Amino acid sequence: MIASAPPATATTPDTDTILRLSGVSFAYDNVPVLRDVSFSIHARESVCIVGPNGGGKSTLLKLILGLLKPDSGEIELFGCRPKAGRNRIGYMPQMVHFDPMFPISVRDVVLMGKLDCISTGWFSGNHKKLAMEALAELDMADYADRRFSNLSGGQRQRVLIARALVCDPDLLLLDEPTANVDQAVEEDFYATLEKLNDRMAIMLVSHDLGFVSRFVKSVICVNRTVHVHPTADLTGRDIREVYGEDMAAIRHDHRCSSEGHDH
Amino acid sequence: MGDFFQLLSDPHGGIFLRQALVVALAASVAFGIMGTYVVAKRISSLAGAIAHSALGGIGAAHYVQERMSITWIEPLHGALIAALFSAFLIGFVTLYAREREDTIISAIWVTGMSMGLILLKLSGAKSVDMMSYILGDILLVSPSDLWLLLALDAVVVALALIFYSKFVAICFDQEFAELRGVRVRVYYFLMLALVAISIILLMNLVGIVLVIALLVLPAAFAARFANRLHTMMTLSILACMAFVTVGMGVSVPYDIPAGACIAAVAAAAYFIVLVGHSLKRRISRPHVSPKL
Repeated sequence: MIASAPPATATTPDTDTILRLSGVSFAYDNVPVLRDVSFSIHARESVCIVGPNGGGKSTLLKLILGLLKPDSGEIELFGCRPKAGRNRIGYMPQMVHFDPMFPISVRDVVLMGKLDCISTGWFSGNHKKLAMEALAELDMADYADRRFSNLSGGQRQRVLIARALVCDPDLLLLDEPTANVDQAVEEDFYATLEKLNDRMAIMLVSHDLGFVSRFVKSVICVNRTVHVHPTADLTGRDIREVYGEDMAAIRHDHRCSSEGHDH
Repeated sequence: MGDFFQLLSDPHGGIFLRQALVVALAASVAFGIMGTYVVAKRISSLAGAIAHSALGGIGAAHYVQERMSITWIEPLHGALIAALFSAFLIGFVTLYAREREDTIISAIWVTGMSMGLILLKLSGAKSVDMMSYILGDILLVSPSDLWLLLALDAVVVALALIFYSKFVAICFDQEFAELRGVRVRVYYFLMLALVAISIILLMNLVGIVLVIALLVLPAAFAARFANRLHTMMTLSILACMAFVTVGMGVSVPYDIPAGACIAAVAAAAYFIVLVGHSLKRRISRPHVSPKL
C-alpha cells in the first residue's frame, strides 16, 4: 500500500456535488470575462465546456483550479476552497503548453503527478511503480523510457492523461484533449474516457461538438455567461446562442479554426 | 597547449593560473547543472541581466572601499549581493508585474551595468581596470576568494541536486507543479538565486559579458545529445570543463584574454554540433518516415 497517500476522506456517494459555482464573476483589469456563473457537477458525471475563443473557458478552468480568484461569488471544490480541494483533480493542460524540445522521458512526465508526495527532489521506487501502472492503463507502458517530445500527438495526450491519473483524482479535467489528434485516435480516446468515467467525474474543454454529444451527459456553454444543457436537449439554436452564429462548420470539422468567432 | 601545462606546473608563476583552473573546473559543475535549468526553462535573458547587474555591486564595493575606507568589503562580495538582489528583483517582476517581461529585464540589465561603471569611476580607485571585470582576468581570482568560490560552488551543486525533481517540474510545466502542491514561486526564486551565485563563480575569470555564454552554450551543446535532463547536466558539466581548459590553454601562451578564448571555444563547439545535426538530418531525410 502507499504509505504517503493522503488520509482517507469521507466517502462521497454518487450523487454528491463535487464542484459547485454560485454567482461567480471575474474580470481582467475591469474587462469582464465571466458574469454570474452558477452550476454544479456531481461525482462520476461527464461534462464538456464549449464556447468561442475569448469566451472565458480558460478563465473558468483557472478559477476551478484555484489559479485565479473570483471577484465575486463562491467556488466549492470537494467541499473546500479550490486551493485546498485541487489535489483531487487530475489536470491535463493543452498540448501547446509544452516546449517541443524539452529532454524528458515519458516516465518522468508521469511521475510529476506524484510531486505532492515528495519533500525534496527524488521519487521512490513505489512512485515509479504507480507511474508505470498509470501508463499501462493507457497502453503506454512500452513507451516509458522514450523521449516525450518524440511521441505523436495522440501518444503524448495519453501520457498526459496517465500523469493526471497517477494523482488518483476524483475529477479529471482535460483542456482541449482532441486538438492535434486524428480521427482514429479519437475513437480510442472516447473508449478510454468511458472506462475512466466509472471511477471519476470527467470535465473536458473541447471545440469538437460531435465528440462531445457522444460522450458527455451535459454541456456547459461559456461565453461571458454560462448555460448548462443536457446533451440530449442540445439543439442548433442553443449553440447559436453561445457562438452567435452558425456552428455547422465547427460541428463537422473541428480542425476548422474557430477564430472567426471571436467576440 | 604545451606552454600552458608548463606554466601550470611552474611553482611560482603558475599559482594564479592553477587557482583559476581549480575555480573554473569546480564552477563547471555548477554551470553544467544550472545552465541546464536555464536552457530548459528558457531564462537565459534573465541570467544575462543578473550577470550584468553584478557590475553594479562591483562598482559599489570599490566605492565603499575607497571613499568610505571599509576595506574588508571585496568586489566579489559586492558582486554577489548585487547578483542575488537583481535575481530577486527579476523573479519578482516576472512573477507579479504587469510590465512586459523583456522590457523590464533590459532595464535591470542596463541599470546594473551603468551604476557599476559610474561607481567605479567615482570611487577614484586608480588600480581598477574596468575592462578586466567586463572581459575577465585570471589574475583577479585572489587566494582569499578561492575558498569562498569553492564553498558557493558546493552550495549550488547540493541544492540543485536535492531539489532536482521540483526544478525539473517547474521547468517543464510550472502550472501543473503548482497544482500538485509545489511552492513554485519559492523554487523559482531559489533557481534564480543559484543561477546568480553560479555566475559569480566564473565572473572574474570569464568576465561579465561572456559569463552568460558559459552558462548557456555547454547546456545547449549537451541538449543535442541528451534525452533526459540529468544526462544533459552530466554532458554539459564535461563540456564546460573542456571549454574552460581548452580556452585557457589557448589564451595563456598567446596572451589573449582567457574569457574571450573560452567563450569562443564554447560557441565554436555549439555551432559545430548545430551544423552537424542539420547536415545529418538533411542526409538521412529520405529514409525517415514522416512523423505524426
